[in-house]
Amino acid sequence: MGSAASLCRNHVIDAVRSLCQDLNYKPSGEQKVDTGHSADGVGQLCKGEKEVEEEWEFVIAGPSGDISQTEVEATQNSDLLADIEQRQQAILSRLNELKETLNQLAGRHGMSVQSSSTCLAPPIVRCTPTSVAESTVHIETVLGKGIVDIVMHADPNQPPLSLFVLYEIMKSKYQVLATSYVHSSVISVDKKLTTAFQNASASRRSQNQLALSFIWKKVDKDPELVVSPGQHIPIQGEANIARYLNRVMDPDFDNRDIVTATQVDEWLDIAQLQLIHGNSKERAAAVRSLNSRLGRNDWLVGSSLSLADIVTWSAVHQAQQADSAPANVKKWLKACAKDPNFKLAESLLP
Amino acid sequence: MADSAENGVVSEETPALSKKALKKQQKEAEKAAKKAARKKEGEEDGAAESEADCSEGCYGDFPLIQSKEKVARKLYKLNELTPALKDQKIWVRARLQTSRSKGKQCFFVLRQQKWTVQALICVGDKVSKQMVKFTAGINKESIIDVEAFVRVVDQKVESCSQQDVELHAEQVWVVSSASPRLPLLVEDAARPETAEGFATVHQDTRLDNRIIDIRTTTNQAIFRLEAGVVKLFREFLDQKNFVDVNTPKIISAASEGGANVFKVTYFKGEAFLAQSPQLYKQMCICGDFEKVYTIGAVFRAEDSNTHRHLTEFVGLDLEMAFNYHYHEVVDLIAEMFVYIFKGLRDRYQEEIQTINKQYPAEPFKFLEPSLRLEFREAVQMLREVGVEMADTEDLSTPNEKLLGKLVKAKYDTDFYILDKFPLAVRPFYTMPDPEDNKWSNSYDFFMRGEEIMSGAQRVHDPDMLTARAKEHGIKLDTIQAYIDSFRYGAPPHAGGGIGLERVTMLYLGLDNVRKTSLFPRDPKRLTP
Repeated sequence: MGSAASLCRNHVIDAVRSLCQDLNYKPSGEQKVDTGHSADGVGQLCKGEKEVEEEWEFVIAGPSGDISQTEVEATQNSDLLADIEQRQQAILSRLNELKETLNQLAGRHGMSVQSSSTCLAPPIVRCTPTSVAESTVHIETVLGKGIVDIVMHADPNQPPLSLFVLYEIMKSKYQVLATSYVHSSVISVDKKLTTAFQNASASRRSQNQLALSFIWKKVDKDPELVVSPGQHIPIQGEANIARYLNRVMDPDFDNRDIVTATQVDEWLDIAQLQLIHGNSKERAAAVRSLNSRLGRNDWLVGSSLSLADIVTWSAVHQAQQADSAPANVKKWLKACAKDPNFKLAESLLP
Repeated sequence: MADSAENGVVSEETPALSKKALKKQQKEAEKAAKKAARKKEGEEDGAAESEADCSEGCYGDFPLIQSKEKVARKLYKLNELTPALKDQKIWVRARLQTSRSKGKQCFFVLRQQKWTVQALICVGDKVSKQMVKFTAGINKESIIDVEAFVRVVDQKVESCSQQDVELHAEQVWVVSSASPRLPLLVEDAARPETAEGFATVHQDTRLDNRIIDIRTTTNQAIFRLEAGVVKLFREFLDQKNFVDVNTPKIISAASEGGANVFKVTYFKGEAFLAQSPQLYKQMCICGDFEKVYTIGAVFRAEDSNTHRHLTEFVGLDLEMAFNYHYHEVVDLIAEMFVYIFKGLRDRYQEEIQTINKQYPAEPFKFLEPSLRLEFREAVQMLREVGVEMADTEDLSTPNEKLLGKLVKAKYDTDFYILDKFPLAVRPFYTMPDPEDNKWSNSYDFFMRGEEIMSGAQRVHDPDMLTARAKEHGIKLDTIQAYIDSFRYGAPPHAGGGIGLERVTMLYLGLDNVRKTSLFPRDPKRLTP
C-alpha cells in the first residue's frame, strides 16, 4: 500500500477524531480507529463512523425531549435547539463527505469497504480496565522481539505459593527463564525457595520469551510485581499479581465470560483480604464459605480448576487453615494437590 | 592571678566558625600560648608568693621521647574504655580534639582514630587551679597522655563514640604539641555537609591539609573500609586459587590506545606509564598461570575534572582462563563482588555507620546471585521511558544513570551486570558474539548506576586479532608484541579491572572519588 494512501487515511482518521471531540464523544474503540493500517482497519474505521452517528443521535434525543416538557424557557431553548440542529447538519454532511472520500480512496486502491453490519466488533461490554488490556498487549508484542522480565518481590517467610503454580502453567505456554535472587536485606533464605524457582540453563538469556524473577527480600506488607517501572507503579498483593500473570498467559480472559471472570475476582478478593490479611474471625468465615461452596461443587468457579482455586489454595495454606479445614475444603485441597502444576508449590509447604 | 589569666584560655566553642572567626580563634590561641609562657615564667619567679601548686609533677610538657627508657605502663585504647573498666585508674594517649573550660573545671574530648571519649578535669584534692588552666590551654590536636579514672555516666555522651563512660583526669602531659594555628579544625571537617549554620570545610582545604583532614573519624573509617575492599578482594581470589602477580608500570607502548597515556623520559628515550595491566595479565594467562590478579597503581592522562576521574588510581585487576564459556568468568567476578559486599556489610558495619553520620546514604543493596541483564534489554528499558537510542549505541553517562534508576526501581539492587555490549563500542581485542557479530562477549558492572568494571572475553587467536585490529584501523606494528604473545598457544580467557577508589565511593554512596583517595591525583592536583 502506498504512503499516499496511508497519509489520506490518517487525514480521515484525524477528521473523525475531531468530529468525535466536537460531539464530546469518546469512542470506546479508540484503538480500533488508531490501527487503521490494513484493509480491515479501513473497515473498522467505517464502523467507527457509524457508531459516532448512532451515539450522536442518542445524545440529541435526550435534551430535545426535556425541552418539550419545559416550555417556560422556550425561546432560549429553541435558539439552542436551532444551534444544535445546525451543528448536527454540519457534522452529518462532513461525515458524508468523509464517507465518500473513503469510498473513493478504497476504489482507487482496489479495496472493498465492508458494510458496517459485518464489521461490528463484539458488542459485549468490556469489563477489563484498559490499562490491563494495554499492558498485556504490550507484553504480547514485545514477546516476539526480546525478553520481558516480570519481577516479583516477596518475603521468603511468606512465599506467595500461587505464583509458583502459575509459573508451572506459564512454562507450558512460553519459554520462561526463572531466576531467584536473594536481596541484601535478608541474611539467609531457605534453599528450597531459591532452587525451586531457578531454571537458568546454558542457553542465553535472550533466547527465552519471558523472564520471571523472584527477589526474596523484606517487603512492607504484600509481594509486589514490577515489569516496567517507568510506566506503572508496582502491582501489590498476591491476588493482583496472580491476576496479572493470568492475563499475560490468557490476554482474552476478560473477553470471554464476564460472569466467570467476576466470580473468579470475588474469590481472589476473599483470598487476599479475608484469608491472607484477615483476622481469625474473618479467616474462619472465609473457610466456612469455601466449605459451603465446595459442598455443592468440586471447584470454586465453574467445573474445572481455575485461577480462583490456585490463589485460594495458596491463601488457605498461608493463613494456616489447611490442617484444621472442614471436610469439603480438605477434599478440595487434595484435589488441587493432585494437579501436576501444584507439585512445585506443594514441595514448598512446611 | 588565676582569674585574670582566665581570658587567655582558648575561647569557648562557638558553633559557627567562619574563616574570620577561625583566624580570630587562632590569634587567641597564640595569645593564650604567649600568656601561658609568660605565666610560667611568672610562676617560676614567684612560686613562693602564689598559692602552693598541689599538682606539681602531675602535668606539663612531657620530655621529648627519644627512646631513653622503656616504660612499663599500659596505655589503653579509647575503644577499650567501657563500663567494664568502671572506677579504674588508667592511662591513655590520644589527641586533644576540643576543650572547654568553665570556672574550676575543664571538659575536653580525646580522640584516637575513629573513637572519641569525653574527659573532665576539675579542681580538687589532687588537681590545682594551675593544672586546670594548663589543660585548658593545650593546643588542639596535640597528643597528650592522661591518667584518669573511668567513670560511668548517667546520661549518654551523644557526641562521642564511647557514650557510656567519661574520664576524670588526674595527670595530663603534652607528648607532642600541635601548632596553635590549625588550617582546619577536625571538628569542622567531621561535620555533615548539610549541617546548617555550622562551619564545614571546603574540599580543597581538606585536600591541601590532608593529614589533618584524614584524622576525622569519618576518614579513618573510609580508609579502613577501603582497605577492607582490598582484603576481601584478595581473600576471595586466593580461595579460588588465583595467583597474585605484579606487573610493570613503566612500559614501552601505550596499552589501550595512545590518547590518554603519560609519557615519561626514560634515560635517552621515552616510556609510558601503564594505563592498565591488561597486556601483562594476558601474558600471564599465556604463561599458564591460569588465574591471576594484580593490585597496583594505574595511570590515566585524561584531562577530565569530574567527580569520578583520577589520573592515578589503584586498580584491582583479574584475568582468568576459562573452559568453554566466558560466563564462567562473569559468574566468578559477580560472586566476588557479592563476597566483597557481604564482607563489608557484615564486618565493617561500625565503619559504615560512622561514615553515614557525616555522609548519610542509603545502604548498598545487592542481589545474590547478581542480576545480569543483556545490553538490548537495557536499551528496551530506556526506550520505554522515552530515551531515543540506536540498538548498538553506547550508553551515555546520563543514560547510564537513568538505567541505574530504572534497574533499582525494578529489581531493588544497586549492583548489576550488563552483558553483550555492541561490538562497535568495545576495543579491538574484544571477542565478537558467536552468532551475531553486531554484539560481543563483553560486560560492564555497575554500582549505583555508575560503571565500575569493564571486561570481556579477549580474542586469543592471533589471526582473528590481526583482522580485528585492521578493522579498527590500528597500525599493526604498534601492537605486534601483543599479537605475537598469542602465537604459542593461548587458552580462552576473560577478565576485567576495577578502580578501588571508585568502588569504595559508590559502595558508600559518596559524591566524589577524592573522598576515597588518600592523596588524590587529578589534572589540577599533584600535591600533597
